[in-house]
This record gives sequence, C-alpha cells and structure tokens, in this order.
Amino acid sequence: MIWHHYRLEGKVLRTNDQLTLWKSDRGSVSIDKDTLAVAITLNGRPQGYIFGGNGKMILDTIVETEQGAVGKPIEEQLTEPFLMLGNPQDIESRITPATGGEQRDFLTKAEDVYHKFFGEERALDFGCHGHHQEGLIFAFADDSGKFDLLIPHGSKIVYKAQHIVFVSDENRVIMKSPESTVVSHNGKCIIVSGQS
Amino acid sequence: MSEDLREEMKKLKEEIASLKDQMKDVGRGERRHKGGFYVDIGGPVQDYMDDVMQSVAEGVQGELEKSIFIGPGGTRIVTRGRPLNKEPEEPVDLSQAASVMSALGHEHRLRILNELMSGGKYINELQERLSEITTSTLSSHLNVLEEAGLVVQEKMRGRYLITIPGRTAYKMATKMASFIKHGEER
Repeated sequence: MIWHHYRLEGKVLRTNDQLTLWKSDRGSVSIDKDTLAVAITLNGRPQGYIFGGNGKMILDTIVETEQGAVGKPIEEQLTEPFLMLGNPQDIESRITPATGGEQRDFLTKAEDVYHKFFGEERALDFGCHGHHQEGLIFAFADDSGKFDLLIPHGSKIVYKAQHIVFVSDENRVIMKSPESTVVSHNGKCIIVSGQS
Repeated sequence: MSEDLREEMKKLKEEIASLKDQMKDVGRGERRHKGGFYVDIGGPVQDYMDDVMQSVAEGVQGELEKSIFIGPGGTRIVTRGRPLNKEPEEPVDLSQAASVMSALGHEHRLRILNELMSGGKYINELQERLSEITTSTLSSHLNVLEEAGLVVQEKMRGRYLITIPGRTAYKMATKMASFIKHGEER
C-alpha cells in the first residue's frame, strides 16, 4: 500500500475561457470563464484542482430495458467549490493567476472542501500504481456536507450521490435509486422495485 | 302387445331419466379448463386445495410485491378471477391519471409512442417517420409526453426514449381500442 500526501496550493488561479473538464455520451462537467481554481499538488506537481464559480454537471442516469427506459437525466448547477483529481495538463495552459478581492473567500471554501475530502491525513491510497493518473474523480459537496462522487474512466462511469448510485460501462448498467434498482447486462435486465 | 310396449316405453323413460341425472353430476364435477378438462374431486377436498393454493399464492404474491417490479401496480396473481390481495388498494391519484390519459389523448402522441416502442430515437428520426407532423408540433407533443412521464429525453445525446409507464400506457390504450372495436362487432 502506498500513501500519497497531497497538498493544497495557496495560489488562486482563474480560467481564461469556458472549460469542459469531462465529456462523454453519458454526461459532462463544464465550468464557465472566470471560474477560480486552486491546484492540488503531489511532490510539487499538479494532480487536480478545486474550482469555484459557475459550472454544470450533466449525467444521463437512464437505463434502457425491453420494458422501457428507467431513470432520468441529472443536471446540477455547480455554484459551490468542487474538487477534481486527474487530467491537470489540459487545464494548466488555460488558467492564469487570479487578481481580485474574492480570492480569500474562495481559498477558505476550497480549504474546507480539501480537508473534508482528504481528511486529516491528507493522503490517498491509489494502490501500487502510484499517484492518480487515469480517469477523473469529481467530488461535489452536497447539502448534508458529504460528497457526491463522479468517477469517469473511459466508457466506465461511477456516480454516487445521496439518493442514487449509478455504475455503467459499455455492456453493463447498474442503477440504484429510491424508486428502483436496475441491473442491465447485454440487453438482459432485472428491475427491482424500491417501493414497499 | 300394447301393454308390453307400454311397459317397455316406461322402462326406457326411466332409463333416460336416470342417464339425465348422471349427466347432471358429470356436468357439475367436470369443468372446462384452459388446457382441457379436470374433474372435481369433491367439495371438502377442493375447498382445502383452494385454501392451500391461495395461501401459497399469497406468499408468492407478497414476496413478488416486495421485490419484483413489472408494472406501476406491481405484479398480480389472480385466481378464479379475483385478486388475492384482499387489502384495500392505495387511493388512485385521479389528477395524475387524468394527466396521463390527457397525454395519451391525441393520435399524434400515440403514433410517437408507437415509433419509440422499437427503441430510442432522435427528433430528426421521428420527424422522418412522422412527416405529416410539423417540427414544432412534434416538439410540443414530445414535451407533453415527457411531462406525463411517458417519455424521457437524454440530455447528452438528445434521444427520446419511451419509459416503462409510457410502454404500459401505450399498450393499455391500443388494447382498449381493440377491445371496444371487437365488442362493437359482436
């Protein structure tokens, strides 16, 4: 087991343009121009960011079955700071140091998100492969102070929020919501009602 | 001679009456079943069997209703034409029912659902197949179907998909139409 110690930088950055952080047939995460960002580093190298501004997360948590479609799209406005780990190279060139009075307030909120996500240890175990290199991890703070997690990796997606768990790859979809649990594999499907 | 004949006729009548009685018993004991005939094995035994079957079916029904979802009302096992679940059903939300029926109450919308029965489609695919409906009208109909929960649209790809309630509602509407048509013919 290898534990990596991450660090939140103190320098606030700003996006020069609208940025699409992730996009696939199933969903997307994007942030508007002038969104503030602060880097999360490992051994001095950026591994991710905490963003604060306006953004949008879309995820089609819909499962097609022979009986009809189950689920609905999720569309969240991202107005509170959220964390992203992975793919920092594409972002580095599109952010510049920020100037302005709102930096202090954002940094305080970003530290809060960082501490909640990493905990007091400020370390994550990504196994023997070393630091987080493949796929992305998004953590959106919800109303209860917990995180909604979105982990896309190629065609695979894991989404865990307060009321829904959604896991999909090319041939399989598993969705658990208060209404139902759906397991679909190569066109075969089981739907289990969650209603009593 | 005539007395012999009368005697013979009397015997024959008695025999016919006796056969008629036997036929009545057979009629009571032998019921037509979907797959053929079965013979009633006696009142008390039949009642006992009915109770056992009902108890087993109620158990299965309970388990199924806890877990397996088939339609909006869940699964239902019916014996001898009456539902096993004796508890009063949940009150129906009539305004929601009216909303669904209203969404179904247009030939164009039923035709849209019919197109979606074979799989999700983009709006241009629907437009090609339903060329007599204008684009704006098609969008408007799709909005009505979506609000009623009969159709869902993917945010990313934009395809329209028929939902489980949508499929059930479409089947219900077409079966009802077929039932009424055949009822009129009869």
